[in-house]
Amino acid sequence: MSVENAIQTPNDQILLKVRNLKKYFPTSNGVVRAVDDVSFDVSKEETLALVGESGSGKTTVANVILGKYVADAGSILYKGYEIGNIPLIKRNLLLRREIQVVFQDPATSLNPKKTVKDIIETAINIHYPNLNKYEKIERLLILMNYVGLTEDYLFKLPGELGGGEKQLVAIARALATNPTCLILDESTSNLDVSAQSRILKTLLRIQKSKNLTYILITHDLAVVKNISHRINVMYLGKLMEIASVEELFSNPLHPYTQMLLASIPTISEEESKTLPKGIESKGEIPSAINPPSGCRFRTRCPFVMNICSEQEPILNEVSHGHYVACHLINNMKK
Amino acid sequence: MSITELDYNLIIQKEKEVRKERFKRAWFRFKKSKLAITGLVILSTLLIMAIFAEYLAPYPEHAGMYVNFKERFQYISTKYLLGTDHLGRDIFTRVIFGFRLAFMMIGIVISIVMPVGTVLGLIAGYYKGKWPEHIVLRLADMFVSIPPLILALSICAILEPNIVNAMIAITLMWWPWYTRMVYSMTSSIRDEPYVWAARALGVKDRDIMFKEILPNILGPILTKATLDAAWVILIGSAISFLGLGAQPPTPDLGTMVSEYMAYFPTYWWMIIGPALGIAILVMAFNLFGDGLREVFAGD
Repeated sequence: MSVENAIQTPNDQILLKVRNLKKYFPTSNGVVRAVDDVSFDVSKEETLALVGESGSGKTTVANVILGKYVADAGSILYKGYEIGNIPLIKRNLLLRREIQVVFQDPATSLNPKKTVKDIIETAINIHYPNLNKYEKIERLLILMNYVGLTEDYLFKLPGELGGGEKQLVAIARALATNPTCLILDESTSNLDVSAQSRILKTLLRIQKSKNLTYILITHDLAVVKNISHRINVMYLGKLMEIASVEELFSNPLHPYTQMLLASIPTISEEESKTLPKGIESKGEIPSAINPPSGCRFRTRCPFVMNICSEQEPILNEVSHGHYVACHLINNMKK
Repeated sequence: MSITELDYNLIIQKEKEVRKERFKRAWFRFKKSKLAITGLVILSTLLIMAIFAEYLAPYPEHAGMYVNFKERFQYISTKYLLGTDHLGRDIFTRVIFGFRLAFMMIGIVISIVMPVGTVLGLIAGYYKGKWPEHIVLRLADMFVSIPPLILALSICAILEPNIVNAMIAITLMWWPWYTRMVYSMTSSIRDEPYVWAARALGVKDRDIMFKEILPNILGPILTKATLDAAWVILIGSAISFLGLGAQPPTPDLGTMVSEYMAYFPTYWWMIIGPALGIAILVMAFNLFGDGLREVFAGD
């Protein structure tokens, strides 16, 4: 199966199509419905953010795309090819090359016993086995230069690097395969603010020059605002709202989105004015083992109605590219 | 940017220097512990003595079949540093040859048990939940469920009692402990993000096991090997003491203790040599192992 052939499919602009994706985890207390019937598209060269609290299933979605887990139901089409049912170990090199990942915790995402050179070289050796030793070193240095690491870092062990530098090495390793799609799984949330901005700038620069597609998983809306194009808001394994960044920040419709936006900490009066007036956050995310009936957000929603517990809201397009799953919004539209 | 041969050589040169520097730092950490150095010094002295036993021992011919009743039961003197035994053989000579046998036994047992146990443990831990795990672990459980000394003794009893079979017995009883230790470490590391990153890159399972996971658990494995060396001597001595290991006149420390026990306490000094030999060897290995643990803990 060649991934390259799939580029000529009619839906040219869509890289990844997720349809009715379900992933359940059986536990001793019951089945955790981590991802429950989620559908969305990822266009080429865009940054799609998956946003939600812990336990909303955003990392599980990314892990299914990566192949860490196999989808229980639904499909994931990558360039027209079904990949949701292929576990990572069964994927061929060509497919693994296409989708790479940068993990959350820089401390554990690099092998503590390998130097920076060894770490990046592993990736080059696998995906470019035909290069000679000079070309390999050259490619290694280009990659390091690309993410902004100098030659001095070549022989450092991860333990000798700062959090931001470790994450840069992880990015260089992911780029070594020349990927099309990069999954950023909370890649900046464990870093301090200065390192965070360095990583974000690097990511933006790389995206422009390499035409990469990012799937950004985060709970940090400030990061989302800076680098993503579209946002998927997830809650308890369901999609609540899909919108472009501008639309979502200027006109958030779902009460959960409003709650998330209201929870961005602000310092000055002016800054708080730039953010939409939200609603106070209350309560904790319920268990995914036994989610609330109907709308899953109803237990925390200030606008809860009778219909919310009876019927599950479906994603409706309210304006171009802006989807919301909420009875309140649907009623208002009618 | 283009890499010339000169640039390349400079990079390789630098890599070597950095490696040397890392080794120096590890040595420094080891050196800090006085006890570890003591262990190392004793071990290397004993090893040199064992290797050059023929030249260092005062009466090399006393190691094997040799009888001289005129000189039996001699007390400690300058002529016989640790006295002579019931057949008139120099005990000091026999202890030195005993060290040679002990080192050989440790070398052979550890060099079989450590790689075999490690590889099986890696496989079982990496394929957790699949059939290799079940096979390896159940097999290990079978061996672990029998007390080690009893297992070794029964194997020796089935086979002919000699030094080779004693080593086979120790090897058979030892590997499950390595396997279980490596298994538990591997199964916790296999889900680390860096292992997932390697999988996402397409690193082969074999390379993930040996290049990603193994370097991270090598420290505890080597430490266990040195500490185990002491146990090999003790178990080997116990088997010999019970008459199922090396047979006289083989100069085995355990066999010697068992032989000379018969003349205790009338000729009490006979037992001092071999008993002290075992004690010093075990202690030296333990001190050295503790030092190694320090080195790896600092990494």
